[in-house]
Amino acid sequence: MQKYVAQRLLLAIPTLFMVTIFIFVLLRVLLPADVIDLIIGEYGRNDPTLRAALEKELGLTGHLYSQYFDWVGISWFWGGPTGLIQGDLGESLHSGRPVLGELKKRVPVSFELGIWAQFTSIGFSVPLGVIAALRQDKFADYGLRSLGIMLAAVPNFWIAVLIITFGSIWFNWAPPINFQYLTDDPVAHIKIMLLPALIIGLTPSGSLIRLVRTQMLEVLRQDYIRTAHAKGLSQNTVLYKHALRNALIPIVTVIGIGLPQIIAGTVIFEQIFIIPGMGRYLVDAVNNLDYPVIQGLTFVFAFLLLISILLVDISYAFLDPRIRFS
Amino acid sequence: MAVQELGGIAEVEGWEAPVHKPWQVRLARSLANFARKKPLGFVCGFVVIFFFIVGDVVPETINKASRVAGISDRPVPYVADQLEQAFPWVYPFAQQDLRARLQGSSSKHLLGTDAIGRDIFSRLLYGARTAVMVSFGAVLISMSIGAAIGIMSGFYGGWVDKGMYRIVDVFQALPPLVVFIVILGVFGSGLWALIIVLGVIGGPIQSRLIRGQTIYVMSSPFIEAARVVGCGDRRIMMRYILPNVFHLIVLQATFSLGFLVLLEATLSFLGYGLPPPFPSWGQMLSLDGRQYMRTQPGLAIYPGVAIGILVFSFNLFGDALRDVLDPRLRGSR
Repeated sequence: MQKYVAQRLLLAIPTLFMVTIFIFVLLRVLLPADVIDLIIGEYGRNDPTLRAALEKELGLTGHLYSQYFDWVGISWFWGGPTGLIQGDLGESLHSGRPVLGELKKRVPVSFELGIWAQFTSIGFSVPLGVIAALRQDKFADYGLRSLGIMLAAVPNFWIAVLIITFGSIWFNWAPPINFQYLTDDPVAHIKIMLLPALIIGLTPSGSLIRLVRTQMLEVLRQDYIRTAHAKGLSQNTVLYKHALRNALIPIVTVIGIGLPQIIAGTVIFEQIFIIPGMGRYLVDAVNNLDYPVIQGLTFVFAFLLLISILLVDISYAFLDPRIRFS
Repeated sequence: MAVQELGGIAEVEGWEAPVHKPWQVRLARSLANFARKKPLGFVCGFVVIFFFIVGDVVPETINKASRVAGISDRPVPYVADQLEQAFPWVYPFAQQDLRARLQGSSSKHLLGTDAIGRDIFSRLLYGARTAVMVSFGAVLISMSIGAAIGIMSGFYGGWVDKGMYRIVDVFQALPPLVVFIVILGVFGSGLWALIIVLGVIGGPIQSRLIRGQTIYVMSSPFIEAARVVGCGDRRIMMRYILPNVFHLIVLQATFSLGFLVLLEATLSFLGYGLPPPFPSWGQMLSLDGRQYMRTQPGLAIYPGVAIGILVFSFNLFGDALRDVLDPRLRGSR
């Protein structure tokens, strides 16, 4: 087990480096000139000294590889500026504030939203999937399977738009606009986060319901379930202690696959519900062409996703001994 | 021995050479079979074909290709243009009637009008083009990339496999929506930009299942036979492996189609889709349009229903196709 974890952690390091190369190639090699032009266009005058200053500020002077080393922070080891390795994500062009400081406020908000969404999708789909499996080919089963297909087909932001539109028409209700942090006002905070978290969780749960159902059906056909019944265990013990536990193991991987969906959900819903998280920061940065922020944020997003996938894989190995020993 | 005496031609009494029916008959038969087994999936297939035709995929692609190639032939006519001439309630997508803003359904405007007096029904019809073009185009690109990576890494194994898998890992670690927002927001968006970006970035991740299936196919004796006969690597990959993983490619493609429609809608909703006059379902639901939804709730309902129907059809069609194509499930009914 320790060997497996160590192996996975070691493999994550080259992947992270490749991610930085990808971002660097995408945002620096493919278009630096355009970005400078666009930013200068915002200032409204084409001034060579301004251009030079901007290029220096963006780290666009010198060779490409030295730019890359500066950004990642490898050159720090021989006296260059700090970079990603040292935890320096750069500074915003517009506000001049360091990206890391801004993220310290924003990451917890997005993370919280994502966690709640994940809980929603699991809490919603596992019971429904179990019910569908137990009532196989009955009305409830068809209804729940259709629900699963529907949820996967309907865009979640549409559900949000409908709730906001008809909430305001019928109940004169609108989502709160002023964001409150958890530490400032917990009740108001939960009021703001509840609805987006619920809706984000709906999309992944569409396919999750169907998966829990098939897993459950497969496990219920196994011999050890019959043995458990034959031992005279009660229906509930068999279902929850023997069947559900085993049925849930493969579902852990699906939670890993659903993570990008959850991240996408937080990005969208931070726009709709005006939540100051990472997604909103990203969209603002892209719209302002706040170029260091875009770079840093993309890296942080990838980093968080990589860590989450890693955790999911490790917990899967922990739950299923077959992975550990293969 | 008896076979050799007959000069290599096996003539067994009572055995008749199978008569090959013309392909039309075979196609019709397999379609009828599909319809009988999976009625709902069959209907959904028709919905997909309907959107495919209304979405003008073929004319748009041919026209774009001829424009790129510099052939200034007569452009292929669009189905949507024909509809405009044939039906009085189909309008050009950008036609405004400022006297008829935010109207409800009427015989003139089937689903009402939006905030600057454009007909919602017509915009939905034209929005189908964006949705279908982007999803089909991106799937075509991403499946080609995925199949190439999957087959090559499964075929060669060793360090080729390992190297390619590091790259696939990178793409898996990048949250798609974030990358799309960054690329489309910084580089600018458009129909073909959407298709290429969604296709290329989504490609490597598609290779996982294909790689697994390739490794499975590689252990079959016919691959060894092909080697013995002296086939080269490329021939084995194209003629022996590709046909055997093709059902998987088709299945993954149908499933990604629905996903891509949702993705396109999401990007348009956030404002990284097509530029304004061109309609897209996600954009019709977007943040700018939300302020008018109180007065005309249809603005909030219809585009979402359209997205839902298309994705639903893609998914159910994919499900049905899987049940029919999957060799493991084929004999079960």
